[in-house]
Amino acid sequence: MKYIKKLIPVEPYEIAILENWFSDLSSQGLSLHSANTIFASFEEKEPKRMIYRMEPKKEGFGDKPPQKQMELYQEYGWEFISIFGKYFYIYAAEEGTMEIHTDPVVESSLYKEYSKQIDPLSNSLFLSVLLYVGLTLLFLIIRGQTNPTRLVRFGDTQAMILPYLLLMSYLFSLRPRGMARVHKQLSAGFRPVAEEEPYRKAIRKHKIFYCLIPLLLVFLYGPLFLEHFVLEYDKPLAEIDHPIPIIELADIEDAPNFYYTDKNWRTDTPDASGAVMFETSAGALVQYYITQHGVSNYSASLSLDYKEFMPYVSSEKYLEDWLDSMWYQDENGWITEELIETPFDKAVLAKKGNEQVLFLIYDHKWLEVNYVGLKILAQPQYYDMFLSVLQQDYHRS
Amino acid sequence: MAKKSLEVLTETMFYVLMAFQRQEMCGADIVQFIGERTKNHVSIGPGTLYTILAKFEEEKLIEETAVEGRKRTYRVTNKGRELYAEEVNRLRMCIADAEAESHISF
Repeated sequence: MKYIKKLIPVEPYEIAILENWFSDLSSQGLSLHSANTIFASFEEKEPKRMIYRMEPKKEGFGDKPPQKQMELYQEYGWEFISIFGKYFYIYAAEEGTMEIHTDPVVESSLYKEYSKQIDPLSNSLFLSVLLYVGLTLLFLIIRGQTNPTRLVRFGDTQAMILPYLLLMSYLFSLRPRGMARVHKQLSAGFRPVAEEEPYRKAIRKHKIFYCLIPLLLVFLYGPLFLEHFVLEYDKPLAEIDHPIPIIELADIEDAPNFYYTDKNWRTDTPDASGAVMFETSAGALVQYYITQHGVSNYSASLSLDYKEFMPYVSSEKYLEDWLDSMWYQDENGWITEELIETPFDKAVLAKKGNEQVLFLIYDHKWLEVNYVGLKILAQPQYYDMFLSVLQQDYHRS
Repeated sequence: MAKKSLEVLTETMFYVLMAFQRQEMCGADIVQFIGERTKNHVSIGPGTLYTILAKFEEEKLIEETAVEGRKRTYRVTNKGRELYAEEVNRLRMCIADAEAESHISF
């Protein structure tokens, strides 16, 4: 026996199209043998047109319908052929056999459990996508309010999977929605009818659909997340040829008496010119980490952490969480104070020995200046420089 | 009430329930009864029959009384009789309304 596999041309709920497709293939000598929702397997036989009917599988039923049901159907000339995905049983009979279902309303009751899965609000694609986007944003807002640090620092996963979640939620909603549509038609007393060879048109529609939806999502969400997919980098400072939020403390190379002891993570390369890391996350699409060091191990060092928060991230909460983190607690020897009369929305200085960390919030942006050296950062003469950095945008897409 | 959970009795469901009013029936008996009673005006396919019997059994309108090989026999319950009587009355009222409205006798 020779079997031929074919791609299922339409979604499982297109029952009339599929029943016709199976019938047309049987008249070409391909008798349906088994099927899942992606492929159908056909056995080569003498061409003979059979009629096929799909009946929803009831919850709790196995790969075959109950024995007494199969026997009853057999008495009427209907043979069970295969289960179809998790949705249907497929039966076949010779042309002229009495229909399996003669009352569409009774048949509709078999689709009822699928229609129950459908939220009344999700009856249109637009509403379901809108609902999903709304819930996702709500989730981000809640996360942003409750744990912005996590969202800003580690939120890249959400950023990456959001378009896929949208696509999957849309695709997963398709089948129950399609089944609900069949239920509605049957309840109204009409069984879906397919015109002659409609599946050729349906296949084209199906292909267009599956190509267009991902493309649409790419266009809608691509720009938003382009920076994440394409532009993340970690480069030496000297190679950067576009604006970055860098500050210049002229004295960082000029601290001959400064003895560097605390920053054990600092590079040991005396001539290090620093590095620029660009990252993005769901909480802050633009993030730069820039390190600038003096010319020797004994020079002062400076590193910057610049972020542009998404509107749903609370910058003050982020600061609060960040200060609560292990590095800046009193028991670790840090002294923190809020700076007043600065041009920033909020400014906090953390100090420990020769290390100073200045946390600045301005216009929903974040600048964290880590400095190890002898100069005093919290001085008006430096504020203008920090402010000019915060007043620029560094979007690259 | 059973009728609420069934929502509405379709023509086929009504005839299946009618079939049980005189005696116990198996599937083949029901099909024969409906064919004779309606002069084959109403036909019932195996899927429809199976779904209706399963639904009626679930709603306790009928109950299984015997299984002999592939033959399963059912009888109507009191609940089933009540529902049938209600439906007949409803249909009578519909006919009466139609007659009153059109001033003709059917």
